Amino acid sequence: MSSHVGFKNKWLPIALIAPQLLITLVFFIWPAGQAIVQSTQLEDAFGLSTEFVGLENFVSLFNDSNYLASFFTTLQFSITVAVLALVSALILSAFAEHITRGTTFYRTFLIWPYAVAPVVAGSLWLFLFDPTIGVVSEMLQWVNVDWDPVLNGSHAMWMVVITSTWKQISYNFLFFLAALQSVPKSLHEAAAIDGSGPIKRFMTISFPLISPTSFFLLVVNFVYAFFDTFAVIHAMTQGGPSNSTSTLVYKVYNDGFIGLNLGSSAAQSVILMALVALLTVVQFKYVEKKVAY
Amino acid sequence: MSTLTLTNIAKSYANGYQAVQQLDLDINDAEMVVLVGPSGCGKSTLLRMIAGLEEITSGELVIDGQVVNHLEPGERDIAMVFQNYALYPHMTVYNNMAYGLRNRKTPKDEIHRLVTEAAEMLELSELLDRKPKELSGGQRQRVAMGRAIVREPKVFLFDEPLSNLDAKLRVQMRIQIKKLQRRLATTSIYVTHDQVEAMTLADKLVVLNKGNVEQVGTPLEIYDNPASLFVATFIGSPAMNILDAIVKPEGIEFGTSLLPGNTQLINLGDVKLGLRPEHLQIVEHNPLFEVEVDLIEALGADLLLYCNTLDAQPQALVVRVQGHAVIHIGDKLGLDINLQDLHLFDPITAKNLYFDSNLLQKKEVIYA
Ligand SMILES: Nc1ncnc2c1ncn2[C@@H]1O[C@H](COP(=O)(O)OP(=O)(O)OP(=O)(O)O)[C@@H](O)[C@H]1O
Ligand SMILES: [Mg+2]
Repeated sequence: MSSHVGFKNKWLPIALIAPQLLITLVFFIWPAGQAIVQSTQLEDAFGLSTEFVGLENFVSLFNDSNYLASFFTTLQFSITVAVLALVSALILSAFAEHITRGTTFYRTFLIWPYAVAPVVAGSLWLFLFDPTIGVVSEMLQWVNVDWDPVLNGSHAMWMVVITSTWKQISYNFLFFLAALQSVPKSLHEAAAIDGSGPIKRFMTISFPLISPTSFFLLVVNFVYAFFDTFAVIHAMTQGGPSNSTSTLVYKVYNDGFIGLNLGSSAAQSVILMALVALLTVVQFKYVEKKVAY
Repeated sequence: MSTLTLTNIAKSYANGYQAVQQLDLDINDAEMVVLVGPSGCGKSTLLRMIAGLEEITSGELVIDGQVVNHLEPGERDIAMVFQNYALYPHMTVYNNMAYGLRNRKTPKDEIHRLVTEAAEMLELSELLDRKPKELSGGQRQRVAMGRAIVREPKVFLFDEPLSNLDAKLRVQMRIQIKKLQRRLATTSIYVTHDQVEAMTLADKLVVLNKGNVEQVGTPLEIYDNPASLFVATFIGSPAMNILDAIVKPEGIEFGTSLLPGNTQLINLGDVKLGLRPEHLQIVEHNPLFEVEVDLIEALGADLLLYCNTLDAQPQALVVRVQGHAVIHIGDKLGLDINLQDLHLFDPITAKNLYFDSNLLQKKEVIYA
């Protein structure tokens, strides 16, 4: 008897994976190939002719101070979002783990933001942050902050940071909670008997033991902040004011579809693809070596 | 010097389950107390209440004259060895042992001295740089012990610390724990459901049943004079034989046999008669009663004979004889007993009828 279950019909397995393959081909491989081709071309202003220019698009990108500024903006944005989303989710899950009553209630509501579509989240927070009718700006008035995300670049930045963070906390919360719950209870008890208080137990026992999850989430959060926050930015600031919230992904869209500079936009996409690939490699490398206690 | 006093200790869990009921217990300095009882009887619950891991629902727990009901586990100056050892997986053996000392702000060189000493005592010196996952089960067990002794606490608590080890290692560790406890003279409470462990380790044995103390005493006191049917059948392996009998004015009748005696001191009527397997002797002449051998287990040193009485309603009982006795299945044997070895239990209350007071005196009167 063969130990694995096999298919008798060899077409069935192919039929089963075909939809996945097709989707990957149509929505990933093909556009990626297109982007690589386009990144080496220059199109005239009317879209009538294209010419091959090699790496010229890339060279001009790295000489473009706007592009470098966008790089910096993205880093700033991503680091803030990742750190805020990770820290607040960690704190929330640490508390949620100790709740004895209304557990389901808290957990359900903490997970909800994840189900909200980014554009909806963007509009919602835009409303809360509205300088004239928003609740948040009203509260900021009390502490004498003259809130104006339409003209003030750093205000706009905080607005998209908070919205993006809000959406990501749920995801992190779920993972942290699962990780914390997998730390055996007896370790906490042993540490308590060893004279360690709740905060110290968290720092010396739980936190080190969930470090594989923390690292995984760090990478995921970076990828999220880099690539998945397009809809939020698009709904809230459209990259403005004066490019202060224009991240790399937003710039790809802006240069390509608004500015119609397809060559440059494609080159930017290729750079982003390389970044994703890099992050994925880092993650896999780590997961392989992951310390399993 | 540490003593423990438990007064009226009770535990109800959040779901209303009463795991421990109105329990009183005194534990002397340097004493090894073993809590034994069947699964679910509340042993761990009691131990965890003493450790401070489980809230005490009512009653008072006093360690060294101080009420500790509301102290955190870390403030009670106790140490506990868990069944699964609960070693910190991300720390080396050294750090596992040093963790509690660091939390108590012990100076660094003092920590080093204490850990090295404890490691030597437990033969862990070579393993101090390893992580728990790089240790065998027995080594992990020793690290857990090391973590407990290094702090020199007032009380050691053990919750079935040997149940994850194989039989041979269990015996070795049992002896090592006993020696260590003697040497350190630290008051200890040890939970187990293994009655061999219980008998061998205990200075004082506490038999628990459904959250109640059934009996407290030295292992031999309990073996020789079990207070109730429960204790009689729980302590001892194979368990004590229990037979249905009737007390009559002229003696105690079971099946067609009569144990003659002066029964005026006990009530007439149904009674449970208890006989340990090793107290039944095979005799050639004048047997008290006869049995037929149904099954034989050879343990090497002993033979266990599973027999049925030859009465109209046969009753099952086990006889322990010397390992090389020539006996076959189907043999009919005559058995006799020494009246001093007999136990009588009330069938309703399950109490030992002799137990209340002056046990031997009563027995002597009855069988004078
Ligand atoms: N957190 C809890 N909530 C409700 N009931 C519990 C809880 N913990 C234990 N119990 C119940 O209390 C009783 C005693 O449990 P305990 O763990 O003390 O048993 P034990 O004597 O240690 O048994 P074992 O030998 O199997 O370890 C059991 O019936 C158990 O189901
Ligand atoms: Mg238990």
